[in-house]
Amino acid sequence: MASATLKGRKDGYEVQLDDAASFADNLTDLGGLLRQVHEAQAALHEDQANFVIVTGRRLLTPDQEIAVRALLDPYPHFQITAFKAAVMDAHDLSPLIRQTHVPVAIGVIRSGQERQFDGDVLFIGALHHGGVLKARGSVFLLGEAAGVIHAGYPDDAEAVVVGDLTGATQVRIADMVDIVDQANTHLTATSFAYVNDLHAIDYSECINLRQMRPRLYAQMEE
Amino acid sequence: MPAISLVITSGKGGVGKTTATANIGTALAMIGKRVCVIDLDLGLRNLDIMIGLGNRILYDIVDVVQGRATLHQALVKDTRFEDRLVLLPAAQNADKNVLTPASVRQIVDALRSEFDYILLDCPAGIEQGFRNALAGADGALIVTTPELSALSDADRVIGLIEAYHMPIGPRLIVNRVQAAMIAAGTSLTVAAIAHRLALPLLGYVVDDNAIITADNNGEPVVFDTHSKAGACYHNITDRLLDPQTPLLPLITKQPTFWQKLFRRA
Repeated sequence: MASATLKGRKDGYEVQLDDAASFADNLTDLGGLLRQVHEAQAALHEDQANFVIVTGRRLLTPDQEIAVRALLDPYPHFQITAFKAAVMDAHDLSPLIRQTHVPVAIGVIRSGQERQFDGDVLFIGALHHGGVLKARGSVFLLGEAAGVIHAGYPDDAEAVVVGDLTGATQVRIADMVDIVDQANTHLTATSFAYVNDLHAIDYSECINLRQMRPRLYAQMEE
Repeated sequence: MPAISLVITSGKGGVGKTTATANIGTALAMIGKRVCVIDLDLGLRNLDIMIGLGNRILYDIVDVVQGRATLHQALVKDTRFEDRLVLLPAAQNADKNVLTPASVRQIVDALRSEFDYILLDCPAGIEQGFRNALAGADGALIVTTPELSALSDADRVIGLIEAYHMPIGPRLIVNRVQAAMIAAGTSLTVAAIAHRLALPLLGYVVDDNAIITADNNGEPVVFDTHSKAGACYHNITDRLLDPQTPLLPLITKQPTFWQKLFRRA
């Protein structure tokens, strides 16, 4: 069985290269397929053809992609529009995981300590007075918070801080700072902090989170 | 069994580190343990005075490090305990940077085979002296008082100690506890302080004038069988040896009507 299979698409052709076969076989069979396509196109008086190369669980190296493209050199009207694989490089994948995954951090942040997170974070534990919890995304707190919480560091004003902030020293979102006033009657154990339309830190009840940050809510449902 | 070395530290000055070192060291010696207490507060030594050995110092820790005396020449033995309690004094007028973490570790390791406990009295702050004291310790006893400023410093110090990953986890001693203030709701309770610092409680010491009298007499308060503070230190020592020992109950009686009336007057 050939290790390169041709499929018709609305906008051209899709070539599936069998990842169980060797790459050398893939190239040989792909060369044969291209020749056949060229002959069929010539019979139909068509010359333009676009190809999407699908490699399954094989991720092509830049050199391998060049080798595939070289097979099209004899056919100047053929072009490859994309290489698609069912797998990804771990290095490229980790930022995507970080974007969609909320890491859980457990522990105690003590006076003088600072813990920083790349995206959103669910922090379970205690943030002591003098400690700083900083995240590029939103901060979800489960436990006592007496220190400084900085969400959306350095400039994401869409970030929110959810949790009991009544004992916190400061709440910071992006470039804004709110010194938490113990006498602030609007602040309860079920409120959250966000940046309002006037670009100031404001507090609302968690029940309103869906309405105020729909994107965050959609992300949570995923 | 080689000695267990414990650093007594707090971050903030004046909360009772040296008093705790003197009393725990003495209490351990009273129940038959061999104890070496090391004063690491260069320039401001007073552990010797609290134990009552101030007039017997010939050499100090800096003399040992700089080779002017051997380690055993510098050790001051307390004859009250048949030499079970021994002090390695700090220097009064030496450069603070003479000691290094490596030299302290070397001294502690050299003493391990001869003692059951080595207590390191740490200077205030988190600079060189603090790092020296931590280098020689297997565990830490954090001393704090029920004030927010002391708690904040203790919390900072605990964070630094945790980074050392000592074999024995840090434990808390709350000093100068005022039962009347706790009863009146104007001071944090001992349990609340331990919870706030997220640290196991080793014990507490009540605020007691007997400590001042004991200091002036050069006799740690644990000798005073009637003092509350002495009982607290004995309880701390018992809990150090056996963590199952119950905590001494703190009596926080509400002041009576007449007490309130006369206090106001």
